Amino acid sequence: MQACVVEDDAAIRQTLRAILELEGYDVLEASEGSAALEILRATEGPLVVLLDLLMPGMDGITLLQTVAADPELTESRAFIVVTAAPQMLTPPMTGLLNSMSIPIVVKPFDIDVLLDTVFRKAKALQVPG
Amino acid sequence: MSRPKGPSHNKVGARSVSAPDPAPLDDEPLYSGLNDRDLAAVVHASGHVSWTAFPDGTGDQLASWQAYTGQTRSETQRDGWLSAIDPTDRTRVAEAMALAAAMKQLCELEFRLCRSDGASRTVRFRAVPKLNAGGSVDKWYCFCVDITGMPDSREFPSPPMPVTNAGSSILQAVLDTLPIGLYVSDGNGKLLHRNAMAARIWGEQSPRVDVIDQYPVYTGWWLDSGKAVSAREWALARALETGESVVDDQVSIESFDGERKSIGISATPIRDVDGTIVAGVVVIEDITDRIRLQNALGQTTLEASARLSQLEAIFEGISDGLLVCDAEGIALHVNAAYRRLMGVPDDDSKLVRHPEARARLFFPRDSRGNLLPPDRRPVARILRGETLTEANTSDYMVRTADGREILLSASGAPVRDAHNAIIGAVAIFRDVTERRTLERQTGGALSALLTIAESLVTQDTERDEGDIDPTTAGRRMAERIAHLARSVLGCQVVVLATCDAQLELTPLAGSWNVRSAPKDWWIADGNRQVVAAISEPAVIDRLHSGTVVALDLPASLKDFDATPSARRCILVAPMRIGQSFVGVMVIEHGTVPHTYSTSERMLTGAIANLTGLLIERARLRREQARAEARELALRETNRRMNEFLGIAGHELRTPLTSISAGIQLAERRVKRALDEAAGSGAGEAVQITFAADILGRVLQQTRRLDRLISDLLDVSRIQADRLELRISPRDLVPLVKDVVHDQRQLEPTRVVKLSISDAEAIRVMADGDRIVQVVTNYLTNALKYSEIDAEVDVRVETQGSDALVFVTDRGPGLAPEEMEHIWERFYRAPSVEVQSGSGVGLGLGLHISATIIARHGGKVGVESAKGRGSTFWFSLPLIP
Repeated sequence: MQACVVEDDAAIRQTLRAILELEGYDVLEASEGSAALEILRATEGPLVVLLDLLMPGMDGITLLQTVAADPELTESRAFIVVTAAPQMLTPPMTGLLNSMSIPIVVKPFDIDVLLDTVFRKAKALQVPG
Repeated sequence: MSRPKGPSHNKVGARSVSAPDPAPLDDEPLYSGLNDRDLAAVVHASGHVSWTAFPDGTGDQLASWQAYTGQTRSETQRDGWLSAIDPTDRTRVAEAMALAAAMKQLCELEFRLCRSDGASRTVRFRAVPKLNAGGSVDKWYCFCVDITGMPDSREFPSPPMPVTNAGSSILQAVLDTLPIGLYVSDGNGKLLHRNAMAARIWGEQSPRVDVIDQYPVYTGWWLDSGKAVSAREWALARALETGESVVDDQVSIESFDGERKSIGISATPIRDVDGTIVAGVVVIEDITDRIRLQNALGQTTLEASARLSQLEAIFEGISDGLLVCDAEGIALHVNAAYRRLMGVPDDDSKLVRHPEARARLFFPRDSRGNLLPPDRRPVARILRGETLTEANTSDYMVRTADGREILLSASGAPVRDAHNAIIGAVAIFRDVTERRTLERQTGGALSALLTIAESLVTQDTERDEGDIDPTTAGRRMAERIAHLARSVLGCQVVVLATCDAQLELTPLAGSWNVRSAPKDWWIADGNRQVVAAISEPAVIDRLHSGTVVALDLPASLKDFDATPSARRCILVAPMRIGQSFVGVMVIEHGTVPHTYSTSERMLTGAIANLTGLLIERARLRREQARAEARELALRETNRRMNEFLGIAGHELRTPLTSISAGIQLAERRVKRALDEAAGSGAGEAVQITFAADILGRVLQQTRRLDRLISDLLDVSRIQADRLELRISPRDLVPLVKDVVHDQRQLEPTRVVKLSISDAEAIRVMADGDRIVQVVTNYLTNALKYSEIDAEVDVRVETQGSDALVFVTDRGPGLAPEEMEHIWERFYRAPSVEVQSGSGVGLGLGLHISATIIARHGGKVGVESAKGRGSTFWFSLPLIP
């Protein structure tokens, strides 16, 4: 199973990579939205995306809006928002997340909570249909 | 109506198709062929008198006048003819003729004329002046027609066609214009001729009758007995038979048009020189209306006159002018107030007796100065059945008998008999000259006030069009008010000044008549003088109480175009907003002596009040503009604050996240290593366990750090009033259960008891995350401030319309003064030591909790005593 960590803070990115690799994931990294978009386009097979919201360049919400408008990008993709500022989510943003069934994990996170969420999403991707 | 001679020249035959041929006449002058007796008979029967007169009063062609009145020629000369007129009408006729002579105008009036047989007949009189080339009167053509008993004959019938032929056609034309019916018969009663009115009365179809025995084709009944009129009873038959005139038979007939009518019939035999009866003349008149009126009046007239005399005393006492008249408009009574009002001498009520006399005397005119036409005069309107009130009657101008021009308001109502027929009128007249003048002034003042009020709207428009500065707009508006006020009040100076606590007047706007009171002078000295005057305690008190004060100051300045003795006549009106005195409006008439009327004072006061409001409004606008700016700034600050808090939270948590995640990762690896080392050496395992322990404690610290960051951010939000709740219907039970569960997980060694009173859901409107935060705060405090082995109770219950959550510890408890301050920001109870766990906190948790609960509409509280533990609780309103 593949996972992609989209996170501007290198320390967190690397920690997440280590956590996920320990659980046997192939981990891809992007430090902002447009790089993530490249990966989404280039990668085949199921992919769980852990997405930070506040990033330089393309931010997480813009990325999700782009993805939501393109059915090819949502195919076999699951998103998890990992954010330190859930209060900054406006009602339209919350609406977008709900419509795409995207869970939120608040930083600083408990690894167990985070991994539970990832496993759940990965499992859903593996169920055919 | 002499012997037939020559062919007929009848030119009106077409109008009287079935009428007998008219008696042909030769071309002699109208009456010349008749002897005196015949002439008298014809004139009496026709009631038609005509003559001419010279400007000096000398009469000419007087045959019919003499025949009718019985006067001799000499008796008629100069004013002698007037003696044939009823004495009560004589003066009026003389006056009317004098006026007509002066005006060289047609004179038309009605009066009573004494017939030669002594009967008093009402006649309509018309005198037409013939002017010569120089424009003066050559001759008067005079004409009278007997209209006795013809209440509705208001107009002379106009001649049906131009009269061009002489002789019989003239006679026919004349006869056809008569307002009475006329038949001419031969000596045997054969009807030879009838005129147009006769045809109208009996119907155009009325047949020719050759002999008296045929008369019953005309159907009639005696009015008094109701018996049918037989052939020999008809007036003409009797006149021809007896040779005597028959006067005024009253008969009810059925005309050939099928109408029932009442007619009066008179008949006269006409004899030739030998005394033989050769012809008969019958005069008929339609008296249907008169008879109906008589029947109607009967008893009523008597009663009415009795009532009138009773009322007379009352009428005299009425302060409004009162006129009672009969159906003809003839004044029966006027009261003293009427005589005073109209300037009529007490002993000369005759002057106003006749409506025409009144019109000539008082000269009633409408508002544009045009004479009121007779039918628009109040009495005429009332007699037509109108009830006049002030609302439906326009005022009209009259010139009183003693020469005053006054504005009258008339009201009144018709007097009716038992059958609702109008038998007279009561009219009331009131002098409204002064009142209307006042009303006009008030009207002017009101429209000025309206204009000022409109400037409110205009001001807005101007401002909206880009005049951003409300101060300028306010000043311009004040200028406009000052100019308006000056034009309305007609004064020399209007100054609007604001007034501060020291009574310093600051002119805001003014309008000056430059010549009499220059602006510079006013601002320099005039102002000082006014300030000095209104600083007097007595004056200032009156201004404070809203009174408009008139000042009389010496005018001492040369600039003011004044003599040393001149005075300044000043009116000062306070401008007040509510009870506070914000300024004055000063008006000044210069040195022209002026007494301020009540209406001027009221108007000045009103304008000053309005101006006060406008100034206040301008001030409020400025305030509003400032408030809007502040609000914008605040909104911007809030937006920035929110953004800052978000970013601050993000930035503070980002390193914490990597620290926390790193520690957790290390913990996992250590645990795995421990599992792997289980089989190997014990020393290694001890080392690994030690490392894991350290990692665990570091992880605890990161969690605490995270809580502190959260608290700091929350308190910043609360302070900036940016604490946002996401309220939705929630069940309180699982929220509390989750918190207890999490705390048990985190501190598995502690005993946390949970009791929930209701088995069912406890529904509240709440932000679930925030309620979790509060319960967590209460519970962590309880754990932190009690011994490690002391249990903590969490209880959830409902009381009335509230849901309540209690968290009870067995800690040291709080002193009363500590309980007072426990909810304050940064407060930490000095006596309370952390009993278990670590860290002291920032003293923010309870403050944040209290704020969150307050925002939910709930309450927080604590019950505690030193050494006996504490119970912290909060309530939330249940969803009804």
